[in-house]
Amino acid sequence: MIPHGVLFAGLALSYNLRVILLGVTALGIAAGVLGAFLLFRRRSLLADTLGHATLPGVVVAFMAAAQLLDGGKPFAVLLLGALISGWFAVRAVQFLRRRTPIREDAALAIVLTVFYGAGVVLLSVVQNLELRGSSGLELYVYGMVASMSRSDAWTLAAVSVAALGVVALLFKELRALSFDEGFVAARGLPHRWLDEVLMSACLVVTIAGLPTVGLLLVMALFIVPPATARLYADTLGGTLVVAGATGAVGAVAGALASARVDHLPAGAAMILATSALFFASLVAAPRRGLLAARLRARGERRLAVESQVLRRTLGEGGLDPAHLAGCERAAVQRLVARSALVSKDAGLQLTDAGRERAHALARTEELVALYLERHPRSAPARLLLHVERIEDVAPPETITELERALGATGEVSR
Amino acid sequence: MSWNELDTWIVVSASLVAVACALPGVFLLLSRQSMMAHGIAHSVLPGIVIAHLVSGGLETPVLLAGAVAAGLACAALTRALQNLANVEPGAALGIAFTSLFAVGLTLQRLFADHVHIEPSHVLYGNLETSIFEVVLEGSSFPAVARRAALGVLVNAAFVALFFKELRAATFDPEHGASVGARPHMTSYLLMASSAFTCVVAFEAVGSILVVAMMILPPAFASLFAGTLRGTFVLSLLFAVGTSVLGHVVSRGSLGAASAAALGFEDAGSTNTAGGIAVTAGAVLALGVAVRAVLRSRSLTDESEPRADPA
Repeated sequence: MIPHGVLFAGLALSYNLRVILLGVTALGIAAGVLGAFLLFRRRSLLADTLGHATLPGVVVAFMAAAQLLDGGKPFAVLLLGALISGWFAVRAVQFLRRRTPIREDAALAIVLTVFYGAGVVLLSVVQNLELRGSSGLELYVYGMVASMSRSDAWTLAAVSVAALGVVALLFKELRALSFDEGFVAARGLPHRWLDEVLMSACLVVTIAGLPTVGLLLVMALFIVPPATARLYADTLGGTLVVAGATGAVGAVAGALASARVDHLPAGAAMILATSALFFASLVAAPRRGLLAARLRARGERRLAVESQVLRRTLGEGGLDPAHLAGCERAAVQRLVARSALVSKDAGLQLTDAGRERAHALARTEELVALYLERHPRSAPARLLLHVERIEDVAPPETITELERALGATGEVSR
Repeated sequence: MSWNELDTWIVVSASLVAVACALPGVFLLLSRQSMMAHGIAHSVLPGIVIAHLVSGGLETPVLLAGAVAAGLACAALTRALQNLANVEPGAALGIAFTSLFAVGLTLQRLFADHVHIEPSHVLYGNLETSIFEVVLEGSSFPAVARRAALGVLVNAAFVALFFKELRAATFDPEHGASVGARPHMTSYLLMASSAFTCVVAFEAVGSILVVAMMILPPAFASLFAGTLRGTFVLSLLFAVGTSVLGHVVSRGSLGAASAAALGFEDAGSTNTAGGIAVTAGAVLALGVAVRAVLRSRSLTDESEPRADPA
């Protein structure tokens, strides 16, 4: 047993850190949920452009604050600047995509680098002017949890919760927008306007996240958690829940690591934690994971060999164990273990259960052959592989039709 | 401030970098992989940090190999996520390069004492200071320009040698595969070339602005050119033109204008790479406007005879 003292020593968090973790949790959830909508609209990389495009706004706001406010922490001013340049960036991408032959991917890359270039120019101006506190600007590039104040954390939490509130209010509309844009337009829902709301929510959360995560990596919080969620969930609700949870866990783990390890940038730590969740899920997710796929493929292969062995035994009235290939021998062992086959003097024989199974398989084979013959176009490609149950591949009315046809021609082998 | 030898070298280096970037950039843009350039550019940091930590040195060939390997890893990981796990292409790229970049940033920070690579240099680049060796060491041909010239030569040779394969992989991969052009292989060669270009260029312009030099020239060219050849010619013209213009603007008016707009005194010259990106953006915007005007004019020209049924 590990004594409680040791176990929780690392978790004795200061009040400050607890507030920061609260803010970061809200950020992770909001970014994950909004990112899921971006993913459904195939716009994940827009978050990337958004993050980078905030740089000129941040620097201009910093310069303006240095000129007008004379010191003080211009957190809100910098975020306002980021908001403005992010808004222009979204406009620019939309303009290039809609009004020129430049395609979306190129539009994203162009806006990203041109805005970032403007930011770099302005940064060099700030350096030349030797303004006070300009080293703090680096914060917005890399992100740092340690320097976050309590009010910053509350702001972050408030913004994230507000963005989530908007998603909750417009849930039905956003769901329609994600899956059936045509339906949205046909129902007369304000399609453009909804898109704007979604983009604005992403923009606001991106900006609130800048000081913690940094503009180089903030978009990863919008991209990685939803992709992780897709490995588990089939429904929109499920995707949103898993994406939010992944984002929150990754962000909190990263923030904690960054607060404990010197020089570890928070953004990088959060993204490493989130990516670790993604790659672990990629391998081990129950249905869509690589391991599950590998196991499923092996199971299907085994089943196919077993079916073949059963059919052969039925057809030949018995099976000589001497004439079996390697994979068949393993299949025979499994079938004997499941008492579908018994080993007798004359070789392997079907049990009653095994015979029933073999007949069912034979019938399925005939149904599939007939299905392919009658509906070559609508038949799914899976029919060409091994099919265990006709119900898996054909709609019920087709099965009724095929069975009637088989019965009429008297080909039933039972 | 009068024009001097330094300015000439900056313009020459920037033009060479821009030309080296535009060559693979044309194929990246046309095959809809513009953002892949961004991903590969981000992978440069982990590539050189890991190569440095493993080898312990700062020799260019080692770092170059590390960066190219990391760029290829980014491209391969993106493909793998798309094919194995059915991840949407944009998200796949996003996951691949942000993970790699985060690894690079973390390693650099954690081993800061051992890694003599400053991420901000990789990110922003600095053409101006890298030229100073002309003055300091009296070398006649600065290393930045030498490396950029090498980049131009290698990329030009690559494009010339594999032109048919690249064209097939870009416009019709299935037909390419059927005539033995091996689009998959070609596409990885293009990724390797892009990664190599990023390394050659990042010292001068930084890994994010390198994307501007790869994508903006062909994007501008695609507004006007109808053929691949035309796209190449216009791209190269745009690359050189905006490099020259960008530096002129940077050393003169850009810094002053942006500082003056906010009420500061003259801020002196500004980052040339950023200036080139902004200038290129402005020229592209101009191109979009010109194209719109040309099109509206050609539309009215065409409609006139129709209006007159004689």
